Amino acid sequence: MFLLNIGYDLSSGADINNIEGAVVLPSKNYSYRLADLREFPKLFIDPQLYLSSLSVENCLTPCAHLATYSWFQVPDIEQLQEGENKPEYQKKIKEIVPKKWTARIPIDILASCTSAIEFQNAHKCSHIILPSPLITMREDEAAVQAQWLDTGLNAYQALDISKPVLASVALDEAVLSSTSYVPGGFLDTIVDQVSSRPGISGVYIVICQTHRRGPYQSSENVNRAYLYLAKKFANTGLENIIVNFADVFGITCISQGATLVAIGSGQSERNISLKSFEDGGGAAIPHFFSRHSICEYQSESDLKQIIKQSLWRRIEDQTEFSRPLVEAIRAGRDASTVPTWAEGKSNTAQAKKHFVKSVQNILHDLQNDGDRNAFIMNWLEDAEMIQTYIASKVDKHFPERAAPVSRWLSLLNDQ
Amino acid sequence: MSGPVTVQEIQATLPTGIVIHSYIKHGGQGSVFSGEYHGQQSAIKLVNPASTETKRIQREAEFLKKTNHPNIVKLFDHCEITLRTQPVQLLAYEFLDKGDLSSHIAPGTLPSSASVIKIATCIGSAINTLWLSPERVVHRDIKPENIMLNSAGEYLLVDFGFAKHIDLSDMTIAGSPGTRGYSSPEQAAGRKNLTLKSDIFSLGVTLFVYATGLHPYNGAQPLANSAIEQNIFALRPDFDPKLSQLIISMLNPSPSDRPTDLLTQLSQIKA
Repeated sequence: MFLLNIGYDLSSGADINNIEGAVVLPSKNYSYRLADLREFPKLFIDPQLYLSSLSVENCLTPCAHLATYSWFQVPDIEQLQEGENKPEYQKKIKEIVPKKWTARIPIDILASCTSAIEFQNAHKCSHIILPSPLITMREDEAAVQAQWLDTGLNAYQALDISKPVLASVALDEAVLSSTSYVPGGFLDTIVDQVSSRPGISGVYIVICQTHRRGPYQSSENVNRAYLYLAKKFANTGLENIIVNFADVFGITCISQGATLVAIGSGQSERNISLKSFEDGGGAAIPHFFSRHSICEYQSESDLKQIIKQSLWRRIEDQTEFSRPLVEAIRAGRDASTVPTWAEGKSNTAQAKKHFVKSVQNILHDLQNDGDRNAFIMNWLEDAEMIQTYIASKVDKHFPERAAPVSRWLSLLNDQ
Repeated sequence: MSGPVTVQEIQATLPTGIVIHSYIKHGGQGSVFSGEYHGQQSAIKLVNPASTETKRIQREAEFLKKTNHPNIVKLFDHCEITLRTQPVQLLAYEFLDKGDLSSHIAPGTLPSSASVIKIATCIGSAINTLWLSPERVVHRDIKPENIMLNSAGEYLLVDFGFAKHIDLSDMTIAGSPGTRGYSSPEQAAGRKNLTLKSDIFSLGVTLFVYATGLHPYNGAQPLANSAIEQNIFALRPDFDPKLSQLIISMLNPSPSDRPTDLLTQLSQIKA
């Protein structure tokens, strides 16, 4: 059920056992770097064509990365030659891209689809994800995406590849409204378009948020759309329903029929917004994730309050990566005494690994539970109680990074 | 020359090998005659010269000429004749001599479940073939009048005048395509890029009417929030409940919730 989103750090997750699979993100890598991908039981490369409208003025690095994938059809972009100096190649690409990046959907759909499929096949992917542009308008009823899907399926059949093929459904949050979820409404139209095409084994769902948002801060519309799409696609009998960039909320989509949830350790691998590719953002500090409260706590300042109120046992979440911190706290010390958890700028490696491992643990436990829906409801209800209890002891806005579990429960109850 | 065009007058303009015998009916696009096409019985349609759908008819003809399916009417030929100085399109179809489904719906004489399954299988197969073509064709006007029976006992889908090809999405059509009461909610709402699920809905209404003699929505055009007003389980207690349930599922207002495996499900139902 768990897929790790892999950004720039291709070794990400290497020290985490039993990772079922990974989704590699081209926006974080020049294409030549993917030659070094390690093997996973399930490996996906997200073509990320939904990022074709990125502004090169504000997002030079991701545009430079994406331009090196031929399905974006950026002219005059060469591949890294054998023996070529990599920093010089990257510099050259960054000089060309501002002049050549069009921020538009590629014109030759068949060529774009063919190259995306060939690339995934050549890079040991277990499944093929067909590229599709971002759905940004309700009015065209995803007709452009239907055209890409038909063309992609034709290309896939022409290449005679035996790997399962998935349709991309990439939505801009701006197209969602309260009427999107009615029978025959906009989302239903999308499900109808995809599920009516035989030969597809699954769907890969991404919702791009309109604003750069922190952990758990997705809008209700985004959360609701993920649930709705997972449920509707599951009802059509598709074998693989992958939810990506839904953050921890993605786990709840399992109750609706999602089969795999992709999530990464960094913010840009947890949710996605075109704005999040723009330059900016400061250095992060380590946060401790608790699966029990579905919150993240600054490793020193927040946890000191937790310990002071004798609340640690409510949120303790032990993985091999949090063990030194857990043992220190049990021994009466705090995170400042654990170098890998001390609240220093960019000292986030261990916290990120712990987050990934903890999410993986939740999904592992969920997979082994006979009643997945009950598991998720119990998990959320327990978290809601813990959050409420902690808020009563510390502060109602504590901590800053907290999942809105009451809203999540309400959305699930509405399904 | 003025006055109504006579059969003899038309005959004089026809290419060699095409013969018209008698007038059958008049429709929105023109008139249909019984006749022969190179010795084979044929239904010959002459398109009204005033029709604004010339391009659409040409596309229909191109599609049907290359389509070979036992449940889709065969088009022998498509050509243009000159009648009273005006160009008129002629379409010569195979002749289906047992009439359309509407003539088989009679109050008080309800059909067997076997014949309902037969129609569903024939037309479901035709719908699938249309959709699986490279053009992703949706018929958009499935109703009893457009389902015909041949002497071999096969049901065939006819009249592709409203059929929609994805690559014709820029073409407009005069008035609202489809037939009130039979169009899917999404078609009635004006959705452009319909899928086969829209035809499955229309087939569901057709099967309901054929099986019960009653329209599921009492003749009204169903919308996304419309409820089925007739109880097929009570009206046809003799049916395998799976068949009644399948017909109900074809009428789901949400296209993605309609059956994707109609033919498989039909094959599992006992007649």
